[in-house]
Amino acid sequence: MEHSKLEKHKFKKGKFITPWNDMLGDIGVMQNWALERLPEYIWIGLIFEEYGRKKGLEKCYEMITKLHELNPEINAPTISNILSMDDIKQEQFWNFVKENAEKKVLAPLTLIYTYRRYKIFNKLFRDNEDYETKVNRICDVLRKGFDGHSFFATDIRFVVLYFVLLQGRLHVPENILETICEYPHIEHKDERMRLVRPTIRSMEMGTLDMGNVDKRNLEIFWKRISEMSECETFYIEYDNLAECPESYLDFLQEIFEYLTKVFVSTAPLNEKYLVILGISTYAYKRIKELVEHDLYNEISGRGIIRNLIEDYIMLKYLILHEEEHQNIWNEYQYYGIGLYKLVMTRERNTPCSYKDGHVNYRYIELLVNEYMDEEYINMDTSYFDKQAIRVKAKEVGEEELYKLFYDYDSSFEHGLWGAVRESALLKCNSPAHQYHCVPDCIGIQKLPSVWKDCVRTMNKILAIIDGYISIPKQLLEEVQKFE
Amino acid sequence: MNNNYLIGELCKIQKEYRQLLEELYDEKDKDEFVYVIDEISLFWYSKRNVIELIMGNISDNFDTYLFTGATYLDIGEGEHYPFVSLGKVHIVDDPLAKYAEAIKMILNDSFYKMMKKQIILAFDDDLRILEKCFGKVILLPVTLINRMEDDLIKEGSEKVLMSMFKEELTVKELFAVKSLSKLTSMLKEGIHKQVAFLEGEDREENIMIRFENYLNETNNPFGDMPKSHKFLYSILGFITQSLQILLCATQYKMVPYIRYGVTFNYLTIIGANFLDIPFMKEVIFKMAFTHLFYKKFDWELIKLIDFKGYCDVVGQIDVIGQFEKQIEKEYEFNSKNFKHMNCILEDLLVKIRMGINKYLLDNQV
Repeated sequence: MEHSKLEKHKFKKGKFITPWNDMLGDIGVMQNWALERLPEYIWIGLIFEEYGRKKGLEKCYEMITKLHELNPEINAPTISNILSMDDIKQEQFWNFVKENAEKKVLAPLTLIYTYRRYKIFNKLFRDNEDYETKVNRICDVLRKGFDGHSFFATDIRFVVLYFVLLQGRLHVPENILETICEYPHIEHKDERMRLVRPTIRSMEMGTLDMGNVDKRNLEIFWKRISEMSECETFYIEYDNLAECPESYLDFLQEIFEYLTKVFVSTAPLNEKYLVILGISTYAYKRIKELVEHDLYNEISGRGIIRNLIEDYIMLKYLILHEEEHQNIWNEYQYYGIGLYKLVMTRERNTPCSYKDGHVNYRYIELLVNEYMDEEYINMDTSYFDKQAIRVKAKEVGEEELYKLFYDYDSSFEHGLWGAVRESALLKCNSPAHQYHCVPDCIGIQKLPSVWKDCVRTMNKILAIIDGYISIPKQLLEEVQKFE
Repeated sequence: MNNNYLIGELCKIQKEYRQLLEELYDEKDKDEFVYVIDEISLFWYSKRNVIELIMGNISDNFDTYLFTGATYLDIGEGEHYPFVSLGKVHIVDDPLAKYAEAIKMILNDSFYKMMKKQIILAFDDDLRILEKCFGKVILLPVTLINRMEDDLIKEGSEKVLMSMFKEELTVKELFAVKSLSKLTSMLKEGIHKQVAFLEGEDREENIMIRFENYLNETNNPFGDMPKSHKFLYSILGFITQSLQILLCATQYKMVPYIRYGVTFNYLTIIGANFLDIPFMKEVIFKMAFTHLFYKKFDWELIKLIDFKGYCDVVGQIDVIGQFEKQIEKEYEFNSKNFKHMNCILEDLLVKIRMGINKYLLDNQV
């Protein structure tokens, strides 16, 4: 199924609304096949699982015909409908099923529909097979049928549809009826099935309004099957993609040592160079952390690349505006110092209760007052130059960096759910657990390596510096080899 | 247990179990007995993960007492009174859960029938516990859940069994001995008197006669196998049960509350070989105290006061706390400590009596 492009979405009040939701409004999500319907038809799935498609269809045909005979009123061959039939009819039906399918086929369902409430069913189908095997059988059917579009699920949905037709609750045009009747006689690999299968599924969906979902039965089913089965967690492995990162760091160190010497000896009071080198040194230190602490595949790695991107965009922005914005370099520094002053002032008002916290307020006070008395320093709480990083990125022609990387990494910095899902949760492969997620308490799930992106971005920052303070060519060439 | 969330889960499980037993009540005496047992088995199977979690968190430093090694608690006879006198949390190792597993392996008809009778009695007792002692006594399938050390226990049990014989023989060689008299003659000196089969039996009596009496009392659960094998399986059974109880107790930081003298006998003998395991000394010592407490318990007390009132009284006295204080946490097995234990016990029983009198006075209408 092709998914809607971004352009097809409607942007309303900060939200991108999908075309589907825009059309449906508040109608809500359709009844979920796997969670709300499949459990009712596990009994059919178990028959298919045991006998295969051809024989399974034959047996199901016999059984639903019998069900139709016994009870022309019920709307669907759900197990909760069958189990709520009167005792005589129920016994007749289950006996018929037992004559046509071995006891062990439906025995797994005695784990869910237990003796105290479903005596008839249990007496006929309970056997001595161990619980684990029975649970696994149900899980196998759930796994195969979970995707409502799978062949297995479509076979089940066909049986349901056929029953509804038998009951006379659905009337379809003759050509559709012919298509439906073709279904059991053609193999799934037949080309005709590409048309027949969607017809079956959409017709079966058309029967949804005909009956209420037995929510209680669903709750019981999912509660019991999830309690009795174990999680099957897995994780995705990633390489760190870092080849000789220490060598890259060595080259960077040489470059920054050189740059520092140049700065100190040639332009020690130049604010522009101070800011450019300050920001790029900060970026260099972040890459150093990446390598020294092996953070390529860690959450912190995303924070590092995001930082590098922001530093790069900011540098480009400052350079772009330095001509029309006088004193931009000085203002940039005092913008940052102003934010420090804000924290410091808050602490003065309400002293921090933790004496061993990581913020050295007294040292911050010294930094704030380093070159200017704090009484002359304003605290600007908006974005620098009143422009968010997104706007700045667009101005400096780095929209792609922002949209495709920075925004993604921001989820990690803010601990938003996308990042949480990707980094802190493991996927469980058990259909009995509805493929839920489980906390990654042992830290086994890593993330794609940020190494290459960090190298590329750092090299771009060096290219900027090279425009002002020429970096020795051989060093630049060396670092570019790491891209 | 200081874990509100797990306490909530535990209460839910107890309520569900009670509802299950109530719904199955009328079915237990019928021919559909096997379905009833299966449903109980299934119930505990479905709860196994959360129970393991609860077990790992329920005890704060051996303040939990585990009733195990017997058939059922027997609320009808007031057995819950002495049980709740000790410690803060009281767990009954659900006999129904164990029987449900055991009955699947029964070999002969008469033993099956005997088991069925026991199961029905345990069923009634379980329901009474859940109705009358809800919140005070907890039913959990403790030893059934703690299955992870099955191989370790099997190995340990066989080693203990082999250590009872003069010669160094393997288990296979032991089972190759077909004559019971030959087998018993191979036991080490003094072992005859340590081996117990029935409560109150005379250990001076010939071991083979005692074993014969045991087989008769228990309706010969082993079918037609040679007597020597029955003998070995019986002893192995006692040893395995004891090891299971001890491992469970040290793992979950609980004290076994053992009424049955035979089980107590094996526990103390086997426990003495594992004193180097952390906390084993404390477990055995307190277990000895609880066994003695039970033996000396004044049964007249239960006629004087209702169960809730009794719980309030013993809760205030804190029997184990006082015992620990007075014994100064010196869990050494010597005659001095045993004498001391006896004195402390007499003292505490008097305090309980006085506490009850005060309670009755304070609550006089």
